[in-house]
Amino acid sequence: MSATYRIQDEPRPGALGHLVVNPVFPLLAFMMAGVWLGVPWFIFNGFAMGSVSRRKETLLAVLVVPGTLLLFMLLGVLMKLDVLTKASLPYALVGITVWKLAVGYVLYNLQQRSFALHEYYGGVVRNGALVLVASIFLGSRVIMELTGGNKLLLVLLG
Amino acid sequence: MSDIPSFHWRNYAQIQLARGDHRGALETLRQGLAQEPEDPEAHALLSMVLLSLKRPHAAEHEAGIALSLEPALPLAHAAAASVAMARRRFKDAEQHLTSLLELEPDDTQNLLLQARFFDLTGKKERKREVLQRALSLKPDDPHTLVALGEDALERGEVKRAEQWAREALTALPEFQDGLVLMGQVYLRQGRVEDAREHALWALHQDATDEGSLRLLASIKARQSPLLGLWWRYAMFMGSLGDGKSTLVLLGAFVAYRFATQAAKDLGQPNLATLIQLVWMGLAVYTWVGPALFQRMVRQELETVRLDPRF
Repeated sequence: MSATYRIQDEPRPGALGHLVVNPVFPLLAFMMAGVWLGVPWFIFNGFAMGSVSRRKETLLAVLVVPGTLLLFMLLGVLMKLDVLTKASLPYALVGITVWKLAVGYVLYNLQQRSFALHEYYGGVVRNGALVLVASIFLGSRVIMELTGGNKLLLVLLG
Repeated sequence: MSDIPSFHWRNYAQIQLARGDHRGALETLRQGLAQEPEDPEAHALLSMVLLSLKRPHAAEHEAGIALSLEPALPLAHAAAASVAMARRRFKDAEQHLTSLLELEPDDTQNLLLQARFFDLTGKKERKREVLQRALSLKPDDPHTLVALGEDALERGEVKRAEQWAREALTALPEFQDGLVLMGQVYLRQGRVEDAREHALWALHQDATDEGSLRLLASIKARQSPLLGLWWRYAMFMGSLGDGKSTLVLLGAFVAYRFATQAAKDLGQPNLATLIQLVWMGLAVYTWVGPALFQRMVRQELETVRLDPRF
């Protein structure tokens, strides 16, 4: 018989539990540095804190890049069909940013629930500000290295 | 805990819950359930506690366990209905309320839960009928009197609301919900200082009570128009829930980007810059606003002398 009753929504931190950060940092990294940092950070954070929704979070996070690619291809098709013009393209491109932002918000909301409990039960919380600030200053160089300046990859990972 | 009969620790948890010690109640139930994991009443009670701690997913799970262990347990149906209402699953809530009222048709607490359901689903007349029925069953029940007062206040009948609040406080002096209602009445009448006194009086008994804190926050919002704007925005977003509030934020973002692009296309770079600055200002305001507002409320809370029983 267990010494205590475990409530369904309580996180179960693993060996990496000491590296948990407030999910607001992965969200800001998502917005300021890009998908290349935000997505892996969200996934890592979810597993480190033992978030109850970590599978859902991971599934959603890995959908960002294919979803962006799909939207990018859709815009290309609409351009070819003359539905979109050069003048209206900047407006349509907002859709890609909105898609990424929406996924970031949903990931944040999902992870925040487990994080609040992780924090409440005295789990270790690291300050993610240093990684965030470093990503803001070095992010553009990193992403250029990662993509080799390829425009499609920049859109997908940026 | 292992030697203590389950009704003892359940009762203790209920007392903790009634005193506003939600976290204490949770720990009592957690320890009790470790010894007796198949106690349906404890699961139902835990569901109520989790709901009050804003953990609706776990609350739903616990209510489900309680119902699976004892399908005819009124407390389990009450918990399941409350959770369903909190998650805005009104069909489920209605089913559980029907079962609950079949089991205990004359319990005023159940009728008040049904009244809340009608309130949330916009059936105001039905709500009033149920409240009147609860009043006829127990004319001195302070919870019913407060619910009637809140309804009167919602309709703009401030004098009538004041009467209900007075009756509730006569039936049970220092009744926290009654004090909060009276504070709301005073706030509506523009008697901000009286409202503040009632909020602090209510908080004296339970410093974690949501209604009392909300009243105090409303008073602070009235005193500081700039932060009051943020409070109203936060209340609005909170009422929408995670999904809808995300949609609203994304909609605002799209509007901002479209407006900036349109200003550029129209050859108005200054306008585009202005829109960007306004957006940045809003971002900073909504980032800093909560911290400033919390500090203001916290300063006020520091003056509250807690009831020793709390």
